[in-house]
Amino acid sequence: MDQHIKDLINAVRHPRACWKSSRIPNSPRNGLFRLPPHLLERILELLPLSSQACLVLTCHTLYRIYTPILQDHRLRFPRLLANRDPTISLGQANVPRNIFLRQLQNHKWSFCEACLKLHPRTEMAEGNLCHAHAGIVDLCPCLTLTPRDKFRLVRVLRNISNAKDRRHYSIEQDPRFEVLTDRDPRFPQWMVKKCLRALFHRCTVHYHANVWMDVRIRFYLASKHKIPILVAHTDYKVTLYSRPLLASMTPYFACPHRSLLPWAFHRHWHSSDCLVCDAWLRLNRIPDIDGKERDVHVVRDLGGFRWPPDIRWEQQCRLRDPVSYKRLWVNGT
Amino acid sequence: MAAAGNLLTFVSADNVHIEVERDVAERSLLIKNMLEDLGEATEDIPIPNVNEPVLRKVIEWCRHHKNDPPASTEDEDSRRKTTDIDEWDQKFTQVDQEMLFEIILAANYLDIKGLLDVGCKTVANMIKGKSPEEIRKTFNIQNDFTPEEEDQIRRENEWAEDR
Repeated sequence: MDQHIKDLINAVRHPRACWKSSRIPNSPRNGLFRLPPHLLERILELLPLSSQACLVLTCHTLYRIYTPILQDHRLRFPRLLANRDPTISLGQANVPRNIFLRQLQNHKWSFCEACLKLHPRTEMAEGNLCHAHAGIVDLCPCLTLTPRDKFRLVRVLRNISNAKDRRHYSIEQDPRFEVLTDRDPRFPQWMVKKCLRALFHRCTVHYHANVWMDVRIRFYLASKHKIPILVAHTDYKVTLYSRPLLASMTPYFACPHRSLLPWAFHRHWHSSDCLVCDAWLRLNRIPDIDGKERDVHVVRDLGGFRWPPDIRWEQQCRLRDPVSYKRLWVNGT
Repeated sequence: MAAAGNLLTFVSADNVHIEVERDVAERSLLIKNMLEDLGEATEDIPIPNVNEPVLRKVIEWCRHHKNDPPASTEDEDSRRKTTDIDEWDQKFTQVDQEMLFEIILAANYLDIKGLLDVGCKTVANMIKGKSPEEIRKTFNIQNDFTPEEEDQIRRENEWAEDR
């Protein structure tokens, strides 16, 4: 036989010449793991994100290899002031994260359309909502609180330990928060009489090409009509590099019902209460000469300490109705 | 001995000789390229990775699709994005899972793009819309996560929380 033909037949005989890479190691009996990685990836490409993620969660082998799929931004908890997209921040059925979490439901976990998270079935009420019957509060691009987050904050501020909190990442170790005590020189004097501990968060928001915001949030416990409440007190230092404000600018909500920038740069307002949620907004400083900077205080009452969350928490929540949200989003105030 | 004229003889991994028309065999790019290099196949062609039942299924698919026009790059791209499978191919892939994966591996080895597409789409359709538990059940995947690990992953990724 001609050597050339022998070589070609030999090439066919040795499969390694054709396999593009080795197979994924796992049980040899399982068909899926007999496929070489490039075929598994080809199958993954044919799947919607939610199904890709479900496949990755079936075993350690796939989890180790394809963890980046689970880190896709579309599966992240929707922080409205970060993503600025109400269409992915509500409980709508066509949102990839919501599809995925619905697929993760099982005998133990159920998806809550208000918290946009899974809860143990024992914590669920009727109508795909949990016992909290409340939603999410947006405070800044980094901080978006569910009712359960709120009660964890309250426990930290009250210095109460709860065994269940150990399952979650500790707030004290969370880089987003700093615990301030009244002995801390940075603890604001005006807060000393109100509480012994406070949580502090600071971030900067490059919100638009011509808008820069320095955001400082203090969480503390206070008393309103002799009822203890959690307060989120936010100081915004807003710098507007060029005027006028663009009409097309995406709103940044100071409370769920009021856009911060139009309010801050309105000449006639110095303080006002939101008629819906009672959030208090105040311009803290006389505008600078150029009229480009504003200091704005926003005080939001996040409700009492008793479960389930009360009406004051609900009033601070992100709107859940897409239609009214759209109207608010377009109007900006 | 190799078959005469337009017939080729494949020898499966389990040493079964199967005659196949050249135009059918050429659905495999591996065979097609080999034949182009050889001119005439004077010897039996060994297919060492594929056993007889699988090879017969592969040949059945190639025979049915032997007149399919060659797909352009654009066609191929759009075809690869959907998981729609035509009726004949759907019936063709109604086989047990072991056979399905053998067909996919054979299509990959023999470089039969259309069949590989059909196989991968069938597997994708078996996964779509299912929970991890259902996928494990479908493919007999052993769950090697502890319940604590599963809960931890859910919490770390902010998918779940409890009171």
